[in-house]
Amino acid sequence: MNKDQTLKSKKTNLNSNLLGLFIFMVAVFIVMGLIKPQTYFSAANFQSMCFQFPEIGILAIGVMLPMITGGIDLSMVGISNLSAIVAALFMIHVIPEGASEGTQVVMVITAFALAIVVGIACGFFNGLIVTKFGTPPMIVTLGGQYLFMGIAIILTEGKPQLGFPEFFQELGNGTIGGAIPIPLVFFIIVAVITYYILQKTPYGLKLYLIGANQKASRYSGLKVDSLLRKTYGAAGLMSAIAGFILIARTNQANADYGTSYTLQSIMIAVLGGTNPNGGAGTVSGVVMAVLTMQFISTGINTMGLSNVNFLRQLVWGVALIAVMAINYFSAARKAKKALQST
Amino acid sequence: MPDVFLRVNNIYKSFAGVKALRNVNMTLNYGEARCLVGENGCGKSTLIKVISGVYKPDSGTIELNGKTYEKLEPMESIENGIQVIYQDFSVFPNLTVAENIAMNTLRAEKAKLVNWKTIRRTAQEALDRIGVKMDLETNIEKLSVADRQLIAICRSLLNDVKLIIMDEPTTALTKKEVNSLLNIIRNLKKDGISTIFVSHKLDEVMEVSDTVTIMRNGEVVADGEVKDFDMSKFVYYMTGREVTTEKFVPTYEDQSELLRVENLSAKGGFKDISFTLNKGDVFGITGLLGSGRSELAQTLFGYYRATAGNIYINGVKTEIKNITDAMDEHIGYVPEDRLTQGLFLSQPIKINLLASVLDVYTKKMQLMDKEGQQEAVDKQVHDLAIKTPDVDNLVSTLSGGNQQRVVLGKWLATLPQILILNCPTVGVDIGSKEEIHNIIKKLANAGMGIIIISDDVPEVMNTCNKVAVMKKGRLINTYTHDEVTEEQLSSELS
Repeated sequence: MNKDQTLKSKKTNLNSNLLGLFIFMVAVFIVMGLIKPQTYFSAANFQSMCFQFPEIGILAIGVMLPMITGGIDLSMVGISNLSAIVAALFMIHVIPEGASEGTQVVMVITAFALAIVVGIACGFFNGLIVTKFGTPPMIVTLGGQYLFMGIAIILTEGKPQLGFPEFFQELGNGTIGGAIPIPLVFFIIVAVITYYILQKTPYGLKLYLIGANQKASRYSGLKVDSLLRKTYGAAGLMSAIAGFILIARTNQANADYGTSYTLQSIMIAVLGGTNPNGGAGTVSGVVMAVLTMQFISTGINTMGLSNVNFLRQLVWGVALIAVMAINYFSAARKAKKALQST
Repeated sequence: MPDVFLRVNNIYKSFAGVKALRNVNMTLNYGEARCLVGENGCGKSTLIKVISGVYKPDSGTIELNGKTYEKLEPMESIENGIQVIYQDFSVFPNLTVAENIAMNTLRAEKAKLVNWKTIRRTAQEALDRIGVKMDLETNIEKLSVADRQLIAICRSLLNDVKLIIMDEPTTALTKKEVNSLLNIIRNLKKDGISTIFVSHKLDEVMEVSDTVTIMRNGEVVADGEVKDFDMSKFVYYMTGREVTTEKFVPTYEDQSELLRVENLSAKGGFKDISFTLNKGDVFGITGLLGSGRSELAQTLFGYYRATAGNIYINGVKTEIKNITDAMDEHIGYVPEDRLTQGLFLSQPIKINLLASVLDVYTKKMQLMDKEGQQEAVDKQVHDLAIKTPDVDNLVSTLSGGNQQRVVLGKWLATLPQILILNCPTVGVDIGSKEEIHNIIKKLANAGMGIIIISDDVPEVMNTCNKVAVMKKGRLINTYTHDEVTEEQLSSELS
């Protein structure tokens, strides 16, 4: 093979995967739209989609971070619920009856800060165990999931927590200018900041290096343990944000809410090109993956079938396997080409 | 039985326009040991893959046991008794010695149930055949590289082998282990089993080989009996030019003390190590695997912590508790195992060169300074003459010698005052090796203090002005390079 060609194929490797995902996303969008075009291609439908995906989207971006380092976080939903419950308990018990709007805003911001602190602390705890004892992240965070859920159950005695200020519910259900859902704004902020951190800062690049070769990272002088603790802390932070939006939208906090989100967020991260073995993963990929999943799920909802939940999961599963198969075959083809050129 | 086991006739093979093999001929008799040498990318591996049926030649034929094949299938190659032992030996680290040896036979018999007695008996017979004693129940992961290799050999013996092809068999072995391997080969020769060595380390394989084939750029440039070749002739054929080696004499003006180590010890690693490294010195520490040489290097780099003793840098007592401390003192370390400790194979060359200086090239808001990074990368690529069309290519696309330069460049970018190199030219071909040695000498002459850890005695003799021998965790002797000969060092080693 001539040198320029090999060069090109290597450089565009990553971009071609993202391009493939983009085409897949557009195709899904169109196919799903054709089921019931009038309902699907309406402003109301787009708005409702934008209310639905931010929570899972933030979780998927969150889980991508430890996955880039070659780890994983199975405790994100546990952290979401625990931090949301701490915020909920604060709002329910501290905000006085009939408080002014100003007080409400301050209290909600305090509650948000509290949730963030709890989220980061939980994530940091995961990171500490992973780095101190060298336990596989899968085991540590699986344990973490049960630990955080357990604490949440003790705090709430297993009962749902209700009764938040009006203003708070706006964060989950309100819009900016009657068009842009507030949860979407949270998602965009998280996505943009994560994008910048991963692409533009040394910290971001170091995450990829740890995932590519942890031993070489140590030998290159990277402070691997501290970087990993920060990364699990960041995943905890995103869990807290997702949890906060969730209780604002549903107006209640539960110790065991959204347990199916754990695996869904990992599925979306992988679909978005995150390598479960570490070293690869992009925000743009995960954003496209979460949109793809949302298009599928909305499309199926427009069919108006009764067993919609099962069908949705089935189609999601097929989509994931299809993308993996496509990636596998294109990688195999590239490998074959590379072999022949050695 | 005919004398000739294998004959390769006029083989041509090209990949997408690049000619990897051009009119290659080779003959191998029963019981013959042939050494196949050449620099990286000369076509050695392609030829081996043609013989083992992995690649189909574009034209030409392969004769095995008198039968001519135009397209040899891998299974046909194995059925004819050809076994290739690759560098990674393809052993199963989680299984025992017995299981590893008997694995293939077990599979060939299509046994549905495992008979442990048979497995142990088969394995024992194979070990006896090469005269090696080993506990059958040990897990392979606990064994040394040399033992793993023996197991790979045992396994191939069970398949009624006629020809063993060994890819870089001595790379990771100590002198003693190499000798016992060569003895085994001699015994196999008596049984009429042929061997092809693919190797860089000429002196070792020359001892046991009868014949040699030297390749360059896909062609056979020399073929004959080993006794007709000497070292310089080998090097000439391999590289196409004369490689000269001169002893290193430091020329840096200010030869003041840079690093002084006093009675340094680390439990289980080494004891009472003392030496001094001046500016402009290249200090060689030579010792066998397990002599504590790597532990010493890694302790100076902060990977391990010393349990006793003192380190002085520029005359100031310094504690090195971790790698960050070492880097603060501008100590760099090029690790022994390039692939697992030195490189990020799935990442571009550029990122590999920048890995240790990511925090150096930053702008406000913690953002990366891409221009500064690019300058640093360009400087290393230029200074070290790293051969690549584009630094955004993956580092895995480079040859061994160029990969080693990338690891070196990663550390040079940190502007070290002390650079520790652990086996810097393992798996690097002769031409590249000489160039890396020249780079090291140049760095020393610019004032850097360099420590080379190596069991390659000629390398230590050629590049260092001071040499120490390490044995069982202690530095037993320290010489300047004109006080000692290669032979003397070699004998002190083993």
